[in-house]
Amino acid sequence: MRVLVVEDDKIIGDGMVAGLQMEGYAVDWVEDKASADAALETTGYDLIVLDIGLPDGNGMDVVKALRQKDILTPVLILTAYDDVHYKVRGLDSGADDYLIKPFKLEELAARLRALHRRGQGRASPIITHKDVTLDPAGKKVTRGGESINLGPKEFAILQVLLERKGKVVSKSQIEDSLYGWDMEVESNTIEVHIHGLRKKLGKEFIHTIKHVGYKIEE
Amino acid sequence: MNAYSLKSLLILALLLTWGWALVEMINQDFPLTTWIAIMIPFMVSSLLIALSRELIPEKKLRSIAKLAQDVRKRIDQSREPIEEKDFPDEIKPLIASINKLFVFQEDRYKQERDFSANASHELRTPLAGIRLQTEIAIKAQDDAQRTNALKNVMKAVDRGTRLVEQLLTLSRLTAEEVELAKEAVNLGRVASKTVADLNEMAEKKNIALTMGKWGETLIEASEESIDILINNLLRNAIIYTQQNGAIHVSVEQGEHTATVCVTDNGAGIPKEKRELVLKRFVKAEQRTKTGTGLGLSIVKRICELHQANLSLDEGPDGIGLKVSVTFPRYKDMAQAQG
Repeated sequence: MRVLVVEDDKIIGDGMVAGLQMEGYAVDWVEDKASADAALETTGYDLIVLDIGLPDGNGMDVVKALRQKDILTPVLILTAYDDVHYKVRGLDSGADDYLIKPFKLEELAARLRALHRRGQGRASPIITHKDVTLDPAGKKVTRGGESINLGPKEFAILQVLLERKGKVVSKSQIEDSLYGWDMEVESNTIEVHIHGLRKKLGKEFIHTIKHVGYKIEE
Repeated sequence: MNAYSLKSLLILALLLTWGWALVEMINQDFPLTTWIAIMIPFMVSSLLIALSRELIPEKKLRSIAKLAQDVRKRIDQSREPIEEKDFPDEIKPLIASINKLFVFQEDRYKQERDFSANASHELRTPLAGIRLQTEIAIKAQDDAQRTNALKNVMKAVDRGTRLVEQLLTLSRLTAEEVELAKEAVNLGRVASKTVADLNEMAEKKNIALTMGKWGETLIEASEESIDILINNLLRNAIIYTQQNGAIHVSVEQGEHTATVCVTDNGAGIPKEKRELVLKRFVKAEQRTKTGTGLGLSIVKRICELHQANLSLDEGPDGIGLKVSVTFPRYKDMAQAQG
């Protein structure tokens, strides 16, 4: 899952990138409004974490512009002002949630999971398909009640495919959600991971749509 | 004639009558009992008149009571000025003064509230950094990541410490009664010491930090404050000047003045913003998170406490910023004092 972090404080930005990567997210980090607008033009994100006070403008304007274009990507705003006024203005400008600095990484991760789940229109935090369950919070996958060990990339690919059950997901879409800008992608990695997943979940679980991508049948 | 003089006249008349009766009685050998019997009504009536409120018009008394009530109300709830028009002329100046006091109080209150709101906001940023990077250090998967996180913790702690120091300096200097121990201070010597102290910080950005020739330039000042003042000016210059830039410090004497100037070739501050940056928590550029936004407020306050003049101008050829602080010279101050 790919997250855009917009934060001008170097120490906080660096910390969020490291923390969210540990949670299995692919993270891109920009430090001002102009770069945030540019990143949002070119890349599709699953989630956005946005600091309100940016050097070249207000974070709320980023959200407003996004919503005007009818883009529904969940946005969590960060603010150092513990003031109702700021929270209200942030939410009213189109943000979905907020956190006050300082915050716990754990809470940021949990809020992002909740935002993503709601964005997907899911009620249950656990994704179930046939005899397989995937728990994004606990990073656990079971098959027929038995726990299955997946690598972090395998887990992320499975989540992407399960969330778009019945739809074909292209290889580049999977890559986009797995790798940030600064990460090297080897050409056959996705195939390798899909192969691994099939071994653990059964051959028929993921279908290859030739020259297009992959799909989990509904 | 107002109520008070009328009352005094009456009392005076009574006393005179009383005195006259006393003389008469002594002359005519009245016995003591009769004497007392006659005197008591006189004394009682004098007392009654002295204590009487009747002679101050009831309306004015009521207006004082109302004023007291109005003031009480403003202590508890609203801070609107008291309306003068409902009161007699004698009381109006008092109301004007009370209203002035309210405005003063309200300003102070607002300043304090803004100050603590801003201070806590500014402190949250380094705290958030510390919290986050510590978590990363704990969860780090390798030594390089842990070291990087710990280095960031240290940076954030340093930033927080600097902020707290600045906050303390400012509140110490703005306390209602600041008494600085002033002595003869050599402005050039303090400036050159600060330049030496901050040389390392400038070198990190490869900024050429130079100081002009200086002689004995005495001012009457608190040495610690002057150190803080020049330190803040220099730090600002280093923060706001780009890599490979240049900063020059000069100390000059006029006939009655001594001036220290810090000139940089950085981005400068647009004319319309120069007044604003002297305010607390305002930074010339939000982009730089390094500054606390308090430096120039501290400088301004130290200038006030030393009758010094602070001016922000463009550097030579319109490039960069030139900050000058002009103090009265020591010998002039000594002469002025006598």
